[in-house]
Amino acid sequence: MSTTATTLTAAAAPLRARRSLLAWCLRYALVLPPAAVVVIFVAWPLWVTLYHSFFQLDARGHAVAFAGSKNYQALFASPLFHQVLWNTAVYSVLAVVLCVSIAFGLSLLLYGRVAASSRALLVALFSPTVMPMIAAANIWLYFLIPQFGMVDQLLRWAGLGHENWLGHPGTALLVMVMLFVWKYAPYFALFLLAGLQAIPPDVWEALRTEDPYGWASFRRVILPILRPMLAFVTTMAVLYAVETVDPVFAMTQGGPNNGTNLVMFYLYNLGFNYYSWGPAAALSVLLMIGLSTLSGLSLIVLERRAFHWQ
Amino acid sequence: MMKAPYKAVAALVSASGLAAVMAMAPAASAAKRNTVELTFYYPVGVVGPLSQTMTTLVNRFNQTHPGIHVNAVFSGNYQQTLAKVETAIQGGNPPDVAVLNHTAQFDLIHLQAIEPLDDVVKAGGFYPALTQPKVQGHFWGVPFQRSTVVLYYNKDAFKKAGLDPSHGPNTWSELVADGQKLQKLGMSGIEIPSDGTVYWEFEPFATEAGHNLGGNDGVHVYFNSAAAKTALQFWMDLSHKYHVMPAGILPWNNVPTDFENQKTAMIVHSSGSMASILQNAKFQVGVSFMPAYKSKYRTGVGGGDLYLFKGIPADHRAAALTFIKWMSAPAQAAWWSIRTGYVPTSPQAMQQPEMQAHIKQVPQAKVPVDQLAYAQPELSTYQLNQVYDVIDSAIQSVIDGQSTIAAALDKAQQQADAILAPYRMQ
Repeated sequence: MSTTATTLTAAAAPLRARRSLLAWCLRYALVLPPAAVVVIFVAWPLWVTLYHSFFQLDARGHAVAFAGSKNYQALFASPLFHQVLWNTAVYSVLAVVLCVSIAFGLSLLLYGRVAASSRALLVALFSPTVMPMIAAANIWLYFLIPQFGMVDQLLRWAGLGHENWLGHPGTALLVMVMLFVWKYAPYFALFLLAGLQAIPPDVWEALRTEDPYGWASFRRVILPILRPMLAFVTTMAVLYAVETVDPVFAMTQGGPNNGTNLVMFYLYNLGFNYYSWGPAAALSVLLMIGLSTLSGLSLIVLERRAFHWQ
Repeated sequence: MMKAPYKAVAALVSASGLAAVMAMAPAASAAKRNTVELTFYYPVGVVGPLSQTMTTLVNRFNQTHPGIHVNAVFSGNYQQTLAKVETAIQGGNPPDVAVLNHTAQFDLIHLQAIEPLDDVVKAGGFYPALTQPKVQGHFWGVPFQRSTVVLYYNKDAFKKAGLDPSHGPNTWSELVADGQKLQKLGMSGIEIPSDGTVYWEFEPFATEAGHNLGGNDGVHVYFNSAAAKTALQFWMDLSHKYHVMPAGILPWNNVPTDFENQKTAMIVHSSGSMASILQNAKFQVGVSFMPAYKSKYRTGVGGGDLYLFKGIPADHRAAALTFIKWMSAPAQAAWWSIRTGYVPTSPQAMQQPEMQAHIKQVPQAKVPVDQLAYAQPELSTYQLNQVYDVIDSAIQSVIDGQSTIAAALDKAQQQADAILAPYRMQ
């Protein structure tokens, strides 16, 4: 390109025109790849999923006939789906409440510590977060081996009996909740810690003189200031909880007796193991609508309630 | 999650395509130019370094067959491999050959994914228990890595408990009596795994009590038969009445470990686990038939067959047939059996000198083969994974104490009927 430019120095005016054309082309050429990626890998699959959710699909996933709302009806007619929804609700509520409250507690603890020691603590706490979920799930699988795993050995040392943690629907779901908290609570604590650290020192000082016990100032000042951060963390926790699939896949495959069959794993099963592509598309659409509404709403609430330092 | 391995497969396929293009270069020799590149998906369904064994086997084929090059693609467990094959078919790019569950045949036929292999199966002279019954008048899969359900017992513990170590319990009542004696040594009498696909360990018990879990047509199941109820009642009694088995759901992977660590004196497991159990146990291990209900021995078969896929070019088809025949031939069947613990698939494979020498050394390896005479077909239907999930959940809900036997099995039958109803009309 540069050689053509140097040979054409004599004709300045056409060159300028050509340059602006080139710049124009370049601008769009640069936008094109990311735009194409969005269209091919986001917009087009979304549209196909929506379209397929209203069609009857054969075992190979080809649309054969218009189905109206039949796929949605089939989805809700399945008793297994009801159980999956219940599992997901129980799991998400427990996981989010525990995770956010523990994260909040952690952030307060970390904020109260001296800088150096809190940093070491932070690194230790943060280590589960940087680990891929699949790796974390496998580590816990190893910890939870009945009788020989670390958890049961600790229990024995404490004089308690052993337990087949992944062998019962209830305890297996609790293990999933615990894994979620273990992995994400420190991560969310970081956000809340950042929120606490953003409060100027003079505010803290004023609060200390006005309210030595700290409860009223915590409730009336600190909590409102942190509210947007808390809202953000809670939304993220809900999204992560509903999207949980890796530990289910690695640890229980939805069992025992469908006790840990969460909605994302069910979606995978519907498509790849049950060949029910129509209901799978319907569930994808519902999840897409539900999750995007949730994050949209929380963004609106977040913006409205946000506390701005003037 | 599906994407990363899928991409790897795609990369592999395109790499092999590239290799093919490079082979087309004029500099390449005439032999190279005519090389057919085959894609072969295979799962590993048991513990152990089977992936390396498979690579060795496929390399042997490639070295002895100049015109053909097989690319073996390890693709997870059976279910993941099936999902991968399915995705490839939907993408219009099926593998040429794959090892998939023998029981997957109904779904594969429904997907119009596979071709019948009647000639290969008839010429192979396999044990009938591994190929029967025909489906829609054809044989579809060629037996490759097949196993049976067997009972392992601790001979040393049997001696200590005053039992005859030359054989395991012959009947269900002997199982209870032996278990109670062994229990006094401070270990469980027996453990039967009950997580995951528990139907497989359960089915022989139901069959012995009088009825298979599935029919031969792929559209009927017998989950709430009197036989199934008797069998499940026996399982519950083992834990709650006779106290010879730990209560609750026992994981498939932990049961052999418990046996090797002498936490239990007997276990029910796949014959495919034999090599690793014999290697790890520090005591004399006995392998025996499944105990009979009253007098009838029965067992279930499991494992994978070689399948040929539709929609591949003619030269690939011919090469794939050569590959399937070679892989299932007696010499290879014996070689594979010795290294994995899977059943030698034909009487000719049993007669291989290598196999005979192996059996002299490890007499336990003969038990699964003798068992084939008493083997019943494994539960196989359309919508297989869904039907498996139904029966597995039902059995687990009973073991976990959430449901009664009759209620759970009746509900399972109803659910399975609803799933299979559309296929009955075809």
